[in-house]
Amino acid sequence: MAQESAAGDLVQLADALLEKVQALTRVEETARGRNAALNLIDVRMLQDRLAIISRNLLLISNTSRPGTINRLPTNVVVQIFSYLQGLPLQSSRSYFPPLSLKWIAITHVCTYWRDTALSTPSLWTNIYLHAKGGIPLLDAFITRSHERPLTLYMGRGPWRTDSIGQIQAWSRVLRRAISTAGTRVDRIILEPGFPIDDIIRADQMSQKLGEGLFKAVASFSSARPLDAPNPVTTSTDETITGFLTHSIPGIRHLDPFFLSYPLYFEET
Amino acid sequence: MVLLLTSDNEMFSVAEDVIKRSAYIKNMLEDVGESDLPIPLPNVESNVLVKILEYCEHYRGEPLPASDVDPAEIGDRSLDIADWDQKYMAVDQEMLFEIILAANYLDIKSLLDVGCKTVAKMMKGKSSEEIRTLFNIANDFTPEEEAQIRKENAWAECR
Repeated sequence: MAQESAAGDLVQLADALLEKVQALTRVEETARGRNAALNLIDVRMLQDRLAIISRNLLLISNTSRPGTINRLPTNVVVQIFSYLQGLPLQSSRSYFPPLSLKWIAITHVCTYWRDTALSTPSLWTNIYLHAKGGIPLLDAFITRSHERPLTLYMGRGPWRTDSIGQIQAWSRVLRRAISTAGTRVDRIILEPGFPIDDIIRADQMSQKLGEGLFKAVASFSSARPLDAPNPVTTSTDETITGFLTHSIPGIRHLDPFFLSYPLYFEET
Repeated sequence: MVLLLTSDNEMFSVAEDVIKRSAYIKNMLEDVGESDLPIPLPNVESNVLVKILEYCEHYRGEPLPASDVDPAEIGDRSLDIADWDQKYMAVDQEMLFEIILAANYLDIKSLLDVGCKTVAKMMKGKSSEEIRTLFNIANDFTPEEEAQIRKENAWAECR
């Protein structure tokens, strides 16, 4: 009843506003030309407020319709999203081929769904790392998962050959994961045949190149202040090998020079 | 027998072991004890309660699932739905959402799961535009927000 009364008040208010607006938006025509009753600043201010009203009405339109999905409470919507997200994992009974990101369409449907999905960290804790679009995807998932533990899935995606460019791209993505959320990664699952050994080898090579470069330019280092950070060396855990061997409980046994066995295996 | 009073003032007399699938009613019965007074269900209409009771009757005698599970942490993410449940859920959208709302309110976890899976299956593989059309959802993003979302999620499009 109170709701009906409030709505009635709003309609009355809107009618009064409309009447006023119509009175104020007259254009008077004289011999010297046409004159508007409101100046441009007032028109813009009015437009701003009307845009806010219009937006608010649009936002509640999805929920006010009877029998609509947006009457479902947030906990239910989250449950639906969780089922939708988990689909490829279970339908294929395997972690690979990689999880389709089609479910992310839910964040493009309406404001309520977007806000709900983005404020549910558990939806963003399973990250598939691929060479293509890898870092923006990784960053979005890392941010949206807040402080939750992460599972990284590393698969080939649509790429069936391992070019140097792809190895480097995977390496970059993995490095990014290590540097931005290394402490949160508690599981890495590799697709059988994923070229992790090539990635580690490339990483080690780049480390050696980095150290070599540092030695080569050592003669110039006196120009740097003594307390300046070393530009090429990294702590062990920031290297892919160091991260894989030291950072994740359960894979400390990894021998980086004998990688015919991947870290974690998907069950086949 | 347990008396239930729906929002449209219809009275239902239901066997206790049938309606105890609802954790809400079960807890209420345990708290209040035996009573001749009906339990009011102000959020459930009679046509929806009929459907809910059909479900509870079908699963009468089956063990109750564990409660207190965070919906975002559901373990079994399979979208498999039993044949009987699929037929049960073959209703129009309005009734589907009413069943889900009632299952949520009455705390019938297994029915809520089936409802959520049914909706998830309807959405599976669809684009945002197709989902809007399917559920008659208005696009309430401003053009600026839409542009931002497209830009922000470019990585999602390239799959």
